[in-house]
Amino acid sequence: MRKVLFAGVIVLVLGSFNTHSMSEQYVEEQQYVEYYRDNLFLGLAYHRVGCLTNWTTIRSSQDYDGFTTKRYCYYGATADSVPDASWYDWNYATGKAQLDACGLRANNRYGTPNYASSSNSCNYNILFDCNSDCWIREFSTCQGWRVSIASPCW
Amino acid sequence: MKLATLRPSVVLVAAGVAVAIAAYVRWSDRSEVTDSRSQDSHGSTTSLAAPVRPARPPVPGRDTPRRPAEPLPPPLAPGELAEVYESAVAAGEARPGERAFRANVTAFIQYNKAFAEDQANREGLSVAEVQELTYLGFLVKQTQSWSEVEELIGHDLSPDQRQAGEKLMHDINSAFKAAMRQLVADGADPAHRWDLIRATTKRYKDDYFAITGMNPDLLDDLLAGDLRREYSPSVTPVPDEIPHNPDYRPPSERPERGE
Repeated sequence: MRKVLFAGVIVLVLGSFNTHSMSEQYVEEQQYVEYYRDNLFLGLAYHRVGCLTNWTTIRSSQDYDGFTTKRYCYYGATADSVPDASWYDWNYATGKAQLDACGLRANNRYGTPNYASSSNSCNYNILFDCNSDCWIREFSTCQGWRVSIASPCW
Repeated sequence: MKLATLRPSVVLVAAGVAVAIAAYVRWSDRSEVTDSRSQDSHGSTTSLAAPVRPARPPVPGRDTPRRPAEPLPPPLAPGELAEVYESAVAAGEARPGERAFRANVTAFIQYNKAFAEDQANREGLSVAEVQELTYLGFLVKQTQSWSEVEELIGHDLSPDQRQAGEKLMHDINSAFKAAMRQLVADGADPAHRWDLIRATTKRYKDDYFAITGMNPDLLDDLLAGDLRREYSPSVTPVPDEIPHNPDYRPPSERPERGE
């Protein structure tokens, strides 16, 4: 009986650590879209951008945003922040193809081909519609988790 | 020591310790994600203005994203801002567009007062300063609306001009944030902080006008145009799904001649 009990303890301990390490191994392969906000002049106005990450590093140099040419996502950079911006939300991602497809959809919706810095189809309205807030809402909705923004986006 | 010689109590204690270790490992793995998510989502223990990124990668099937609190647009009545503009025009004010634009930002700050207070606390500023800086941020972003700027100045901007305009925004934004944080760290008098805000606003406008050919009057038109487009059919996208009119009846077919 003691042997059985002792063996059970060993299995329990090893199993726990094994589950933990398997979990770590699994999440290393998991990809995410992480969202960052570039605060303007320390107020409550932001530019928002998404990057593809594996939670440790950024896995693509594609910025998922519209209405700016400023660069944020650099392949290989640490994922806890991007230049001049702070982290604010995340979601699971299936990979770059998924994000590219949603980027294309947002570009088509707001007339920002190839993530252009201005729209060729709608009037930019920083407070209500056709702005980078609305772009990221369209993108994140397509991607599966709609992030919060400060514009109503009519 | 042979296993058979162990006393039952020793085995039980070892089992208890092992179970405790196993439970702790699993709990610590989970709590680092879920705790930080709930904190930043509800803002109860962390800053509203700065959601906290989970220290460990979220695990599918176990962790789900929670939407962090964000400033939201204020509930303004249709035409409310246009009325501010019209009243400013009627009063003979020089910058009715700016007046109405400011009214919108004021409403935005009042509606999101908790965020403004949180941001002020984080940066060592007053809420009034955060409001003015939010106004500056929105104004600067609005001035990057190149197609509308081109309409106002009457000609296209070159790619170099657009690039210079955007670079100006980023450069001045970065320089301002560094300078303001230094002032706060140095314990500067609020008057000095306001001087920096005004000087930054003036510098942006001066350099922006030089790059684009805009001027104060056109800038006011740009800000006013933003307000007067409110609910404009030309810029309001058609909803994805429009409900059908329940009273709709298909028209009867046109009678043939002689019927």
